[in-house]
Amino acid sequence: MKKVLPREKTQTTLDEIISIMQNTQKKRQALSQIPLERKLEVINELGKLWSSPDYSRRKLLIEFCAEQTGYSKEMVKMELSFVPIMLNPESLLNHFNQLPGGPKSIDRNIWVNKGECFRNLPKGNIFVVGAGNSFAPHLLTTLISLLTNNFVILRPSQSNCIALEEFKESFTELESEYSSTARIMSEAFEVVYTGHDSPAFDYLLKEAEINVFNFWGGKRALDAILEKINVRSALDRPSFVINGPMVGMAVIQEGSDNLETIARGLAYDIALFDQKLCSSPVEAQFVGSEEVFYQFAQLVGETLEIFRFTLPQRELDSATIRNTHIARKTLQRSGAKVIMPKDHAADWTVIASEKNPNLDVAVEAIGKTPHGTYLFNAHARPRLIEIVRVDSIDEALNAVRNLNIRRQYKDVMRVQSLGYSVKNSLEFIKKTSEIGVFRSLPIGEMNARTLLEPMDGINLAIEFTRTHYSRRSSKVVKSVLVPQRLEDNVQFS
Amino acid sequence: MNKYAKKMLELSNDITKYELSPTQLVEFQLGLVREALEYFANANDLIKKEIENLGIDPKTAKTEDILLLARSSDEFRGQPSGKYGIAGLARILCRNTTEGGKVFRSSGTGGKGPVLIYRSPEALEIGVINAMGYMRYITGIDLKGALVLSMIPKEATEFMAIGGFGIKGYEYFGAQIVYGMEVNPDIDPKEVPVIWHRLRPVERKIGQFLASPAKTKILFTGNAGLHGMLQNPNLKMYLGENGYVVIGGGAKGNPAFKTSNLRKLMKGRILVNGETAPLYDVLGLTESINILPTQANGEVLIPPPTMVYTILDMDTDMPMELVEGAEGEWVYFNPQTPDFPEVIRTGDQMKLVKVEGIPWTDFGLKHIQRITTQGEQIFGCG
Repeated sequence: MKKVLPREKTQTTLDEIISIMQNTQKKRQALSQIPLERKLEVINELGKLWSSPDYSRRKLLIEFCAEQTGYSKEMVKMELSFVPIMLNPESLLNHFNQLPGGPKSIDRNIWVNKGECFRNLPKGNIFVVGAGNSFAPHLLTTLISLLTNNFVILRPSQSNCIALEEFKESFTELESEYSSTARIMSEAFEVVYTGHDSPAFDYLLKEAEINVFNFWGGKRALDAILEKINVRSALDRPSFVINGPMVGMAVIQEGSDNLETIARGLAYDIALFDQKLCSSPVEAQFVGSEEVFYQFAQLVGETLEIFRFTLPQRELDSATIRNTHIARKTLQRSGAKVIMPKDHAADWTVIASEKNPNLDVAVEAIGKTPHGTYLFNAHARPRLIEIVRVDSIDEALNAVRNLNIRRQYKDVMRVQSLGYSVKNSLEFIKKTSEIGVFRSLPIGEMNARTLLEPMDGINLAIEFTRTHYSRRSSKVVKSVLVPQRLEDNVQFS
Repeated sequence: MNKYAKKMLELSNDITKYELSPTQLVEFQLGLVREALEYFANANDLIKKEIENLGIDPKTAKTEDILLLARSSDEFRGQPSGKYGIAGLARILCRNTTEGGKVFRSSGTGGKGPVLIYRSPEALEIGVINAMGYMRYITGIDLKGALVLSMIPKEATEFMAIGGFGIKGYEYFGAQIVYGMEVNPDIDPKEVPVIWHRLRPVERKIGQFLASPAKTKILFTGNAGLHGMLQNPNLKMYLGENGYVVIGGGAKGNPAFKTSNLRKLMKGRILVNGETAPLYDVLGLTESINILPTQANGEVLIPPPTMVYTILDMDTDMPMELVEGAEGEWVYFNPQTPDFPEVIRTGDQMKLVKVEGIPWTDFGLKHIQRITTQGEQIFGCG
């Protein structure tokens, strides 16, 4: 008989939350007794567990998450393969290099220069609220939080709750030499599930001792949550780390690479997590001739057709299917070239447009929900991309810069990832660093992050700590600060 | 009045269209479609461009080509704005009709913004004749001297298709209207915006209708309204020698409001010549200038001969072969609206069913359900 995870996450009650919050200081203290290096050793051990395809929790989660989220097993398998990568100590340590005083400043004072020192202390309690798609971001937040000696309360979507609880449970399965450290670490984070209007959720937002509020999700949820947090007095308000909502875009230049390679890369970036990631491209700009442009659009379609079977997407509901058909018809009427599967299924669509995007008209035509959200918004579209042919890189980058001026993208914070395939990448990157995107990456790897990469413009280790600074004598001030001004204006007794 | 509108008005008055055979209908509709394409291409630049983009030549077009112009009624939702007080329809409005007219809006009971449709004076005239002229044909009942009890308030004739075409249509054909419902002035429209939630019965008027000796008495109401009336255990209503009950608006998801249930509840209580009165269920859309009634006590909607329609496969969106049992989304074109191309993706799942006694067609449409369009997906992150 197939073994399935036996439980569904029940709502955490107000009493349970209050009880969790009463013990956070004790747990943080215990955590801060463990050196950073030791914690990384435990994480390394966890990485070994999760890297085995035979690890029972990993196997169970593939079944469970596919069932709960609707993503295909292939997709969930791929996500779980990221877990051991995230549990890489070397990668994690990179987040600490930018701290004043470096990684060691987490454990003790680090003396620099002539008699000055830094120590990075935890901010306290971190409350993470996250929506939907992938639990990887929560994992990173949790790991950085533990390494910076914070206590973290995670409130993910219901399906991700179970995945994160399984992760928490895996701490108990380490060899005995790691077990006591692992226990302290696992006790420093709690996975809770609360409804949007529950007293428990209200308490966390309005009253509980929360020092950092970390949000992953959409604008509507964020607006509602901020309204609740805002009842706090100014000094009682946590600091905010807001991630999302964001999207990806792509710029392709004719002649930069083999056309098939670029098409395959773009199609992969679209297919990954059914185009629901902040890095997923929602529109591409093609700089080149008309003839090659249509050839390219066709190739993207052909590759999406392959992914339809090798990396299947979640089952489409009738509203999504109908909206896709309405969009295609609207676009055809607008004069755009619409490429779709031969059997006309709604699984993927490539729109090839000249000069200006046409999709906005279709999105408007399909309309909004009573809440004012576009029904056919970027994350509601099943593997659908509009490729717009333009004449220059600058024109393409202008489109990237102006994406969230367009009404259908008004709920998008900004373009997170810009995938590219261009002839002169150095010149290109020089320009993209100035147009407001967080990341510029080669097409085909828009979702991938290296060891060095920061988290969308911020460094979580910095966000989760406060730096304490000390110096030993006033001689330091004299030698380090601008001497002339000091001599002129300050009288030392 | 422009040439096209004039012709459509004449067509509304022309009852010979009900005598066409299925074979004659093919030729008849093809002519209407080509004429309409020509007219709309000249009347609105966007439509002209769309027709070109689709590669359609009005002179050689096939009948089904017009259906490529179909828009979902959701496209016409929104808040009133601009000169005509409409939303999405503004883009395809043909401004070559007479000044004036009305804006009809949907009931607003669906939770989304209302569908807003501008009707020029020409369209209002055509619609009045179309709707009730067709009803007169289907029922076979002359309306001169008839008495209609409308459970829709008089106000609705100004802004709802059911009033502006339905009630006005009865008046046009010589019936007298008694309004059995009124808008309660004590309820603040700002607090209760949906008009249907602010109505109250006018018992004096209902009593006047019940007591009338007229030969043809017609009860005109919604499914929910009829259900409400039938909850009164003392209700007994006589509709003269050849009256009938006509309902519309659908069951709104409530099984008790289903036509089949209402027919059962009516048994022996609403009478014509000692028999249970015939019940006609009518599908009317805010965006349509025409109606689709059932035959007496039937469940199958009969499209008028002027209506070009198809059924789309819900997976592939391709037109299906129109044979018995074909089921999918119903898309239609009605040439008689001169204000915009009335080519509508209805969002209604229909099944093609055989019917008898209708000269121009062997098929009618059975309503299966509304296709969900509310699936909301918000931006997430990951």
